[in-house]
Amino acid sequence: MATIAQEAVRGDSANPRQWPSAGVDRIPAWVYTDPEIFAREMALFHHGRTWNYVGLECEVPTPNSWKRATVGLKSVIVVRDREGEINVLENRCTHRGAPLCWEQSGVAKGGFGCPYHQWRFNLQGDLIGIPFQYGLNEAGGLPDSFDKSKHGLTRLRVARRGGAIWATFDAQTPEFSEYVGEEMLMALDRIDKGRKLKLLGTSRQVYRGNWKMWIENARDNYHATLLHTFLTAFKLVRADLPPARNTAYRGHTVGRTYTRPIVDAEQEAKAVQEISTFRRDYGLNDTETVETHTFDFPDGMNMGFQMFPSCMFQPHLNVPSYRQIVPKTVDTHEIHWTFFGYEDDDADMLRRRLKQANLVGPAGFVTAEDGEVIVKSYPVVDQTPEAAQIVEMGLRGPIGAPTMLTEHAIRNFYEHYRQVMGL
Amino acid sequence: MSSEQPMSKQIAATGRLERLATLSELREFYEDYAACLDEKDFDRWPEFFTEDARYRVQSVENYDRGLLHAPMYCEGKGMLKDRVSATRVLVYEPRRQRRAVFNVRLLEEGAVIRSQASFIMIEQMLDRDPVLALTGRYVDEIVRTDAGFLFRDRTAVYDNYRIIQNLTFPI
Repeated sequence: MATIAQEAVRGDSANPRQWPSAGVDRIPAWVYTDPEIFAREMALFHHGRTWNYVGLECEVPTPNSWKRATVGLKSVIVVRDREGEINVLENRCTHRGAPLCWEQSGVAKGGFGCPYHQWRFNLQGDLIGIPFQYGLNEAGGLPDSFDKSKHGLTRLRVARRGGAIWATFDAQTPEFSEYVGEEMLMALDRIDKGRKLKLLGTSRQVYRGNWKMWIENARDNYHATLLHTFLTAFKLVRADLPPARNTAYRGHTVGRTYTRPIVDAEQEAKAVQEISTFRRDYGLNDTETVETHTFDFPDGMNMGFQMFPSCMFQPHLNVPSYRQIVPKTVDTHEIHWTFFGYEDDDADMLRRRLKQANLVGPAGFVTAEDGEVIVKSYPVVDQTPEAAQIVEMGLRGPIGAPTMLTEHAIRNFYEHYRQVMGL
Repeated sequence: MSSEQPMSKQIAATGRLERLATLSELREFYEDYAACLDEKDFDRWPEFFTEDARYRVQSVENYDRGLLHAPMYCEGKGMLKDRVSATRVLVYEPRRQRRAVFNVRLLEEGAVIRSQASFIMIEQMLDRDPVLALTGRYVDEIVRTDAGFLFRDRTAVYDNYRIIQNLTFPI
């Protein structure tokens, strides 16, 4: 166990946390367990200068339709107004802080009314009605100095791309295109170019562990080829298969992989010697769960990405989904999955998408294993805050050579992380 | 029952008795299913279903909106077997589960029985305290065969806003 005892470990304000001198080849364990670090992350990332996923356009298909979403720790309302524009409003009455919307979704005829004192807001978030604002019978009411126009709901800035809706709290956040970069814009546009998304459903789950452990896991191709029997046995992701072409930009990562990689028998023989979870004897009765001959894109590739701080799009085979990592506390986070297909899917394609969704989500043959490992690890991590995690995979040989045997994308995340956090 | 009772009453009484008998069989079927999973007798689980059965575990949010995505989705007995064979190769925290099935309701009798029941599933990880991990209701279509009742369609519609950790075994 590498320790950073000599570096400052104390978290009090007199002695701020210091990153190990080895830089991003090490991750100090306190980054997963310190509540002050967590509070700073929320302020600087999710509530700050970042763009965050809040839902799909097709989840609010008609004027007045709305859904609740989360940006960081804050509840927001995503609503389509009468002109078809999307507004994202903080779900917080400016009077006394009650949430306006208590259901998951609905239709806001006449705007939003607070259940507590019935203050009324329109779909733009303007405060338009206050019961007894002028009192009754010359008694009570608000003073004349009270200006309704100054007390509308907090409005987030909105971007729409890739069939999805994105929002930011901060007026200083760069424009969406600038924030995500060229490669991710290309990946986003592939999702909905010339096709209409069709919502298949959502799932949520909660894990005990720090949200960043999931972020790292999704960037960790090294584990993918070792932990997941379903990826290795069914040749979906494996060290001998062509690795994803990844790019990194401002904490984001974009990857392009073959939907159905071709296996080279010689390479396979070499690789599987090192993979203890590889089982030649393990098969499925219904191979549609792990196989396809129909590609969603003519180039036979799937493009996935991770948008800093905590949204992912990671298609396998024919099952695209947006995956939102939702931090709750320093030691818990939720994952919100949104599964979709397209309006022009035929019955075969729909069936494939539903079957392949068994790979991911709260009962995912692949993704559940990640969660189990994180949940088992967290108490250990929590008890050893002075420890540092080792992320040196991929530092052997030429840097940037395409390979799965690297923790490069994790180091990229922490490079950006340290910059923004001032660590 | 007195032979002096009018015929209509006797027929009605017989109908009630038959219905009670079916309900009793149904409860036994449901409890056997729950025990099978509690005991992790996974090879027996697919045998509760017909060959082309559909089995889903789905949130009430999706179910009520008519959305098709379900975290567990099986079409046909092959996929049921795949669900349980995976438990032998996947990595997960060791655990025990215990199911309670109650409020069994026989909604329709005929060639296909339509029924529902409430369920709770208590889960206990090896080193941790029991947790009420899942609550919801079963929505079922059942057929009578020589082998007894079989599900031709079972949906476990869970009320949970979020799954606690993962769904590792069938519900």
